[in-house]
Amino acid sequence: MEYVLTANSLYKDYGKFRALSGLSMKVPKGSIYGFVGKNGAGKTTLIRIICGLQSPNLGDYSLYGIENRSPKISKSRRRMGAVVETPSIYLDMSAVENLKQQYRILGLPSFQGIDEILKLVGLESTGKKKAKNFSLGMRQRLGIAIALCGSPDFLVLDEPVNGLDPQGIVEIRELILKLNREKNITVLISSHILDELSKLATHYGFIDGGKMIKEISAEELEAACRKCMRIEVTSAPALARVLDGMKVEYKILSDTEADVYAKLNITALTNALSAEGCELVSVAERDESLESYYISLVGGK
Amino acid sequence: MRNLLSADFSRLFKKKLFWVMTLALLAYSVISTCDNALQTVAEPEHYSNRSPESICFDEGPVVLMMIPVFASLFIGTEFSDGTMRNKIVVGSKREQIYLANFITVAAASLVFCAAWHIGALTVLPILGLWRVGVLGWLLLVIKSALFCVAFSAMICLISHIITNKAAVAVFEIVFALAVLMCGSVLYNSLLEPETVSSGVTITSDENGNMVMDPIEPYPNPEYIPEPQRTAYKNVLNVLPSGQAILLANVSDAEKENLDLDLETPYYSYCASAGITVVFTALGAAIFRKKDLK
Repeated sequence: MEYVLTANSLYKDYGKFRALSGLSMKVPKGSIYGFVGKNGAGKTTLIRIICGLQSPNLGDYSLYGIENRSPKISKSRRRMGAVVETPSIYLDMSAVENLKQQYRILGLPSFQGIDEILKLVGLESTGKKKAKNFSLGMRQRLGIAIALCGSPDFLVLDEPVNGLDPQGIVEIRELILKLNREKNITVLISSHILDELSKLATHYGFIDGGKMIKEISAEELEAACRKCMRIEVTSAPALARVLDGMKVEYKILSDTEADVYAKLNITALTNALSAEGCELVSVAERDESLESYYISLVGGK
Repeated sequence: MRNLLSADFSRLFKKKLFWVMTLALLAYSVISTCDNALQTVAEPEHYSNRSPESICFDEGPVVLMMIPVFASLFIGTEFSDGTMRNKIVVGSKREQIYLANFITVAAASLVFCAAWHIGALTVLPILGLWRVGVLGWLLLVIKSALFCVAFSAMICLISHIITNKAAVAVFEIVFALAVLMCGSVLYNSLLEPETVSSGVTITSDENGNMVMDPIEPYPNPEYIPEPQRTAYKNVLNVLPSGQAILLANVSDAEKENLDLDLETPYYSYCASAGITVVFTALGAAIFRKKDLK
């Protein structure tokens, strides 16, 4: 598999605080890599490092196979775009002026393509309106538009849906999917909104305490997330005796609840529970979510 | 580097603040020069010492105060809006980003300097040509341009170390005031005479007439002796603020025979160039290693 980004044992200290503690990761080409972790886990620190804003204390990383210490890393960076934390835009300029500014920084020979980028992010009709008068969602999209100026193959987005309203979240999600599918752009997204991430990501990296706990593809995650039936009864011990008799796998959650990892005949279960003097209160089918998978990985901290 | 300069200059020319400051400085220079020149014509007995050049070069400290105001907003915006990241993420070298920012701020300071000198030309129809001649005037203009660039280099370093826009604005203005005060204190110390006399003694002679005898001059305790005197002069000629104060008081400095490198300011040229190179190299080296958010 070809990787866009490879990080090896990265360490980063801020004074006495260790933000990254030997983090390693691999972002496959063409993927949407969901970078999952709670606040302070080290997501933004890693993004700052790979964007060249900060240097690791130890360890190294490579972009398109070029190591960070190589002078050629500048050329690799030309192939990437990023929105780190807040969108990086000149608030006193319009959307077009902001993009022209980025075109100048990149040394592009003409301003051709600006209209296309603005259309792609849905900002084609903003005219001379200054960015300071944009909504948060519009600023976020303008930030992504600037990141797209050099036609990057690799897009890094740090918490792109933070603070957005539901409509804004849907728009950004659709934009990311469009960029990945239509332009084949590899995307690294950090987020702690797991539900949103699960609608996008093809690969996941779970980080906690500055370390990568697990890297997994969406298919592998789906296989790992087992379906189950959440059963509520009047007595969990009675339910346990019945389930033991049926020889099915289960997990007692409380005095009245249990998850059962098998498909049960409800009539047979009700009769068996009745014989034990226990009543069936409710049955619900459940998927283990990305959220519960993450919680199980980080130990519910 | 060319791309960064193109982006920075494009932003500079679009910046309303830059044009407002330039026009304000031009207007201030015209008004202040005309006012001083007309005063000199109206009361020649009071201003016999005032030459056209002393009026022309009066506004140096004002121009120096403009540089931190402009730089803190121009470079500070790059950090506060996060747009500095856009340059680094796409592979621009930090040294080049720093150098492009410095060149842009220095260019802005030269435009301020030009506005000052253009406004000051209004002295010519009122008081006539400069006493130092056109070449002498030109040498002093170059001196002022160079100390503006040197001061821009100092301010640029601060702008890249302190990345908080509000904090950098306050710090740079306080810094500019501090260096101007420092220059002013040194200059005033050098103006102190070596000896002072405090009047006369009045006695009466044998016929009962009053006789006034001047008191013998005694050493001035405020006078700066050697070797401090030479050190003070050198600091004044090296510091951009010192050079600005010397230019603003060019007539007094000549009168007091301070030998302050006014007619052949090559020492100041070298000092300004040195400050520019040292501060830019130091700033670029610090910025290269700096962790950014």
